[in-house]
Amino acid sequence: MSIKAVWLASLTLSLALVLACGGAAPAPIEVTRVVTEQVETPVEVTRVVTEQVEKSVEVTRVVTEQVEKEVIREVLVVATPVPPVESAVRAGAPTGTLTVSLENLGAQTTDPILQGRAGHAQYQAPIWDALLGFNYESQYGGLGRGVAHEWGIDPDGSSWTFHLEEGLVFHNGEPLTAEDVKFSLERTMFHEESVVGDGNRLSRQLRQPPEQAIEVVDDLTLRMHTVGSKPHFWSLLTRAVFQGGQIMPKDYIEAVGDDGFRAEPVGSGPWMYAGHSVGDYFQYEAFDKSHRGVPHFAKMSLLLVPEESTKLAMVHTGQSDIIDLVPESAPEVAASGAQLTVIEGVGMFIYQFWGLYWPEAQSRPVGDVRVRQAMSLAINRQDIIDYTLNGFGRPSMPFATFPTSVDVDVPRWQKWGEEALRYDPERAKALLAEAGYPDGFEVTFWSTNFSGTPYMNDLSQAVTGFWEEIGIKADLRIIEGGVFTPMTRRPGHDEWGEGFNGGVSIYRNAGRPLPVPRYQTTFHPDSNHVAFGDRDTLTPEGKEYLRLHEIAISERDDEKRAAATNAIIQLVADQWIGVPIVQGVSLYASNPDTVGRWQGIYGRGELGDVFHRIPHAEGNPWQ
Amino acid sequence: MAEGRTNISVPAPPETVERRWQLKYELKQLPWIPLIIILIMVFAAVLAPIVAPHSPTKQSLRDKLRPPAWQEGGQAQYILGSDILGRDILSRLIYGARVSLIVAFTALLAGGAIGGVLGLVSGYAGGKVDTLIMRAVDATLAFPTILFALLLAVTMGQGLVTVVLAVTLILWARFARVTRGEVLSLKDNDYIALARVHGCSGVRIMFVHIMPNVFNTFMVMLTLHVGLVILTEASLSFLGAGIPPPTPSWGQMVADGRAKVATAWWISIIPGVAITMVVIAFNLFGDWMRDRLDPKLRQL
Amino acid sequence: MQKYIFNRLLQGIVLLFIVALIVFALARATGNPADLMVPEDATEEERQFIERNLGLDRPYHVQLFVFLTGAIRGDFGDSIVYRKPAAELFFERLPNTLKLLPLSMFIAVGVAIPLGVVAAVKRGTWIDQLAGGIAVFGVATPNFWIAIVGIYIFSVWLDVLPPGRMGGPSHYILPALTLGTFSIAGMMRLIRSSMLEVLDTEYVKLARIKGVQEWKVFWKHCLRNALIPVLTLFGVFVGGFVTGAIVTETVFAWPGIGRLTIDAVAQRDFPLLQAVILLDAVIILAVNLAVDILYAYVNPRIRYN
Repeated sequence: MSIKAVWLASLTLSLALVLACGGAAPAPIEVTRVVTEQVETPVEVTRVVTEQVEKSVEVTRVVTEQVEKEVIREVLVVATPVPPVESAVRAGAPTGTLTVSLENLGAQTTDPILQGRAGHAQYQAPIWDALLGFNYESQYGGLGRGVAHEWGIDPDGSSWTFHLEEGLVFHNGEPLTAEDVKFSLERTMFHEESVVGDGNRLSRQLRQPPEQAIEVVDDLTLRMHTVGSKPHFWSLLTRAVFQGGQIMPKDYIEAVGDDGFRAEPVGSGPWMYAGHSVGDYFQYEAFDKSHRGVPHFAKMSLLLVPEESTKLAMVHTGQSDIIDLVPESAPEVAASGAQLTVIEGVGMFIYQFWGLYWPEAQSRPVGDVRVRQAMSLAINRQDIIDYTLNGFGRPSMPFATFPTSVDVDVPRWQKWGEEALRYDPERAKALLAEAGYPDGFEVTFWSTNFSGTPYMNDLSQAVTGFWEEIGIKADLRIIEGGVFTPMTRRPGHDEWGEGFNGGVSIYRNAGRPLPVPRYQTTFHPDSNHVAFGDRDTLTPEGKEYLRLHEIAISERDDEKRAAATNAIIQLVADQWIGVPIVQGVSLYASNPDTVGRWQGIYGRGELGDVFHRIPHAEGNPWQ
Repeated sequence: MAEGRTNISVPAPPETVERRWQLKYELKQLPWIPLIIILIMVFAAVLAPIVAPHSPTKQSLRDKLRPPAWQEGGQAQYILGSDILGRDILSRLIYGARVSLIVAFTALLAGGAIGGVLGLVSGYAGGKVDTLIMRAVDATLAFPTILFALLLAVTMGQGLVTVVLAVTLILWARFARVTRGEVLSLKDNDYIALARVHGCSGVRIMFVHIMPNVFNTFMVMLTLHVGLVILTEASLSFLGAGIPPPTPSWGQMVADGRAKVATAWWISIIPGVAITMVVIAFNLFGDWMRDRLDPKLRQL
Repeated sequence: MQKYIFNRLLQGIVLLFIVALIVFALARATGNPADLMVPEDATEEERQFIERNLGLDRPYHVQLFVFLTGAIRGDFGDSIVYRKPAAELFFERLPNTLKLLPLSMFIAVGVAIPLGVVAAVKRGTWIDQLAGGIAVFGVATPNFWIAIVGIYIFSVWLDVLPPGRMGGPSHYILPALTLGTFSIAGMMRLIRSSMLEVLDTEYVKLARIKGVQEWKVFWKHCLRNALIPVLTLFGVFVGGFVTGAIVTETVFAWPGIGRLTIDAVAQRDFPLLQAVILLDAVIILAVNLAVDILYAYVNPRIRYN
C-alpha cells in the first residue's frame, strides 16, 4: 500500500470531520460577560421556623454578543428566586408518562433501609413517605407535614409526640397506623442490613430499652422518649435533613418477609413501584390516595444516564422530558430550546484542612491561621460563580449555614460572608508575608467528582488556580469518590502520614436546615473528621466547641440555644479550617412541549418529593 | 553541463550511481507524511516549554471557551481556543503530546525489555520454563486491556506511574510471544549449533547470537505498538482512570469537552483529531518499517 | 481431538486460577472494603462488626480459600453498593451487552470483508490503498471520540438516531458502530492477506482457466477458503468487544457489563469488580477455546502443532 495515499485519505476524512463540526455547530456563545449593574433587592419573606429577612441578589449581566444575549438573559432570569407558583391546574385523572434522566440513582434498592444517602434516594422518595415532610407552600421550603401532621416536644422535655394524619393508606390498601411507624423506625435502627445513618443517630437519642422508647399511644399517636432533652429530635425523622423516618408497612413486611418486600415494595407515597432494572431505570405508576397529592402523570420512568452529553441530547430529541445538568451545560440547554429550572440553596462547596491538631501540622504553613485566611482571601469567588459555574452559584454564608438554617442569625452571617469571604489578593499576600511565607509554599489538594456534582474537579482547579497566583503551589490529586470518602474518616488518619493529614480537600455540604449535626460530623471529637482532634488530642478551640455543642443540642431555651449555635459558627469561621467557597444550585432542563413549569424545594437538590407536582405542558406553560 | 562532464571524464563507478539512485529511491519511499507528523509531535513534546504559548495549567476564568482564532470571536492569543477553565488548547495539546510520548516510550521500553527477555528465555530454554512463561502470557492476553488498567488505577490510585505500569503489564506478553516465535525459528540455524559446539554458554548464545537477529522484529513491534499505547492512555484518561487533571492528556481533553460539542466543539474535536492523526502516523510508519525490515510479520 | 480439547480446557482452568489470584491480591492490596460499607458516621464498633460479617478479619489464606471456593460455586459475595449478589448483577446485565454483539460484529464483518476482498483483488491499485486507509482510520480513532461525534452528528444535528439507552432497533446503531469500527482494520488485513494466498492457489487458477466468471471465482472459490483464518479473529473480536463495551456503554448509557465495570471502579465496589473481571475472563477464555476447537476441526494441521 502506498503510504501517501492512505495518509491523504485519512487526513481528508479527519479534516472533513473537523470542518463539519466547526461549521455545523451553532455560533459559539461568547462567554465573556460584563457585569454592568448589581441590583440588590431585599425581599421580605416568612419562613416556617423563624422569620428572617432575606436578601436575594439579582445580577443582570450584559452579554457581549448580540445574538446570544436573549438566550443567556432568559437563563439568568429563571435562575433568580421566583415567588411560589400555585399548584398547576390538574386536568382530571393522571395521564401520560413522565421520563426523567438523572446522573445518579444511588444504590437502586427497593428497601429504604438499604439506601443511606438522602441525596441519592430520589428514586425511593416517590414510593415512601417520611414521618415529617416538606413545606411545599413556602418559597424557602422547610419542614412540613408528612405522615404526621402535628408534632412537638412534650412539656417535660424528655419526649416527643407525633399525631398521624387520618385515613392514610399504603399502596396495597392497608391503613397506615402508629404501629407501622414504630415498626419502621425500629427496622431502620436495628435491622442488621440497615445503612441509614439516621437509624444510628436515632437509637443513640432514644431512651433505653428501645422497645419502650417508641410508645404507641393509639392508632394515630406516638410518643418517643429521648435521652434528656433533644430539641432537634425532629431532624432524624425527615428527608429534609438526612434520610430518616421512612414509613414501611408492618403487616405486609411481616407477611412476605424482607425478600418479598424488596421484590414488590409497598409504601404510601404518590407513586407506586412498577419495576426497575439496576443500572438502567425505575418505573412508577401514580397512586391516587397519597396525602402528598395525586401526580399529574399516570406513569413515570427515572432513567440512569450518567453521561452529560447523552442526557443533553436526550432532552433535545425528546427522549427525555427532564434531565439534571451541570452549570457548564446551561448554554447547551438554552441553545436546544429546553427550559431551565433552578433549585436554590441546595448545598455549599467547602474546602477543608485535615489533621491540623497533629503536632506535625504546627510546623507546616497551613498550621498558621493567618496562612489559612490568606488562602481564602486569594479566591475570587465571584469569578468562580460567574465563570466556573456559569452564573449558577450564590455567595456563601459560613460553614454549613444557609438562609433557611435553624437557630442561626442569618443577616449577621450573610454580612460576614460578604466581608470575610471577599477577594483581596493584596491582603492575602500581606498575611502570607506576615506568617513568614512571602514566596508561598506547597500543599496537597485532594479532589473528587462526587456523583451529583461532576464538576467538583473543575471547582478544585479554579481554587488551586487562584492560590497559584499568590504563590501557593497546590499539588492537585484527583481520586475516585469511592477512595475519597473512606479517607475522610478518622481510621484513615491514625498516623500523621496517612489520609488527607496535612493537606486540604474539597467536598460539599448538603443544604440542610440544621447546621449543628453538620458541625458535629466535622468538629466533634467523636466524629469522623475530628478537625479539632479527638478526645485525647483536642485543641483549645475543640474544647470550647464541645462546650457550646452540648448547649446547642440540648438547651430548651431557644435564645440560649441559638446563641450557642452562633458562637460555634463564629468559632469555626475564625479558624479557617472548613472554608466555604460558594453556595451551589441544582439545575434541571425540561422539554417545554411535554412538561409545564415546575418548582423544586428550596435546599433539596433532588426531586424525590417533587415528581408528583410536575405538571403537563398545558397545565402550566412556561411562557 | 555537469552531467556531460561526468560522462566525458572518469566514468563514475557503477555502484555509486546505483547507490545514489537507491538513496533517492529510498528517500522517496520514506513515509514522509507520517514521519513529519511524528517529528512534529516529538519536537513539540521535547520543546514544550519553549513552543507552548501559555502554561498548560494556567487558567484564566474570564477567558473561558474562546473559540479558535479563525472563528468569530476568536483571539490570536488562543490559536486553537480555550477550554472551560480558560486554558489554552494549543498549549495543552503540546504538553499532552509530552504525556502521551512519555507513557508510550517508558511503557514500550519496559514492556519490550521484559517481554523480549522472557521471550528469548522461553524460546531458547523450551520445556517447563517455556510452558510456564507462555501460560503467563496467555493469562495476560486473556485479560481485557482496559480492565487491567482500571483495576490498577483503583488499587494504586491514578497517575502516570499507574498508566505506564498497566500498559507495560499488557505489552510484555505481546512482545514475549513474538520474540519467542522468532527465537524458535532461529534456534535450529547452523550458526547457533556451531556456537554451541564452540562451547558458548546459553546466556551468551541468547544475547550475542540470537538477540541481534531478533532486533528487527523487535523494532517493528515497538513502532507498531506506539499507537496502541497512545489509544489506551487516551481511553483511560477519558474514563477518568488515567492521567489526573490538571496535567493535560489528550484523552482527558476529549472527555473535558464531551458535553460541549454543540457549543464549543474545539475542546474535544481538536485533541480527538490529534490522537487519530498521531496513531495513524505511527501505524503507517510501523507498517513501513515492517515491510522494510521484517516482511514476515505481515499479519501482525 | 479429545486430548486436545482436554488439554485446552485444563490450560483454561489454570489461567482462570491465575487471574483469580491476581484479582484477589489487587483487591486486598489497598484499603479495607469495610470502610466503604459503613455509613459515614459509623462508630468503630460498627465498622468491626461489618468486617467480621464479611470475614475480613480472617487471615489472608483463609480469605483466599473462601473467595476461591465461593467463586467456583458462582458466589462472589454481595456488591457493596447495590447490596445484591455480584454474580447476579453481572448476569442481569450480560444480555444487554451481548445484544450489541451481533450488530457490531455485522458492521465490522460487513465492512471488513468487502474491503479486504476488494483490496486483495485490486492489489496495489488506489482502491487497495483507500481500503487500507479506511481500515487504518478505524483503528486509529478512539472509540469514545467516535461515540461523542456520532451522538452530535446523528442525534443532535441530524436528529435521526437516539443518543443513548436501550430501546428500539434504532438505539443499537450508534453503540454498535462505535464498537465495530475498532475491529475493522484487523479483520480487513487478515482477509486481504488470506485472500491473496487463496488467489495464488492452483484451484483458483484452474477455475479461472476454465473460464468461470470472475465474481464467481472470488465469492465462491476464494472467499469461502479465505474466511477460515478469519474465524480466529472472532476470539480477538470478543476480547476487544468487552474492552470497548466499557467506553461505549459509558457514553451511551447502556446498562451492560461495561457500565457495571465502571460503576464498580468508581465506587470501589470490590466484590463486584472481582466478579466482573473474573466472569469477563471466563467469557473471553471460553470463546477463544471454542474458536480454537472449531478451528482445529476445520483445519486438522493445527492439532499436531
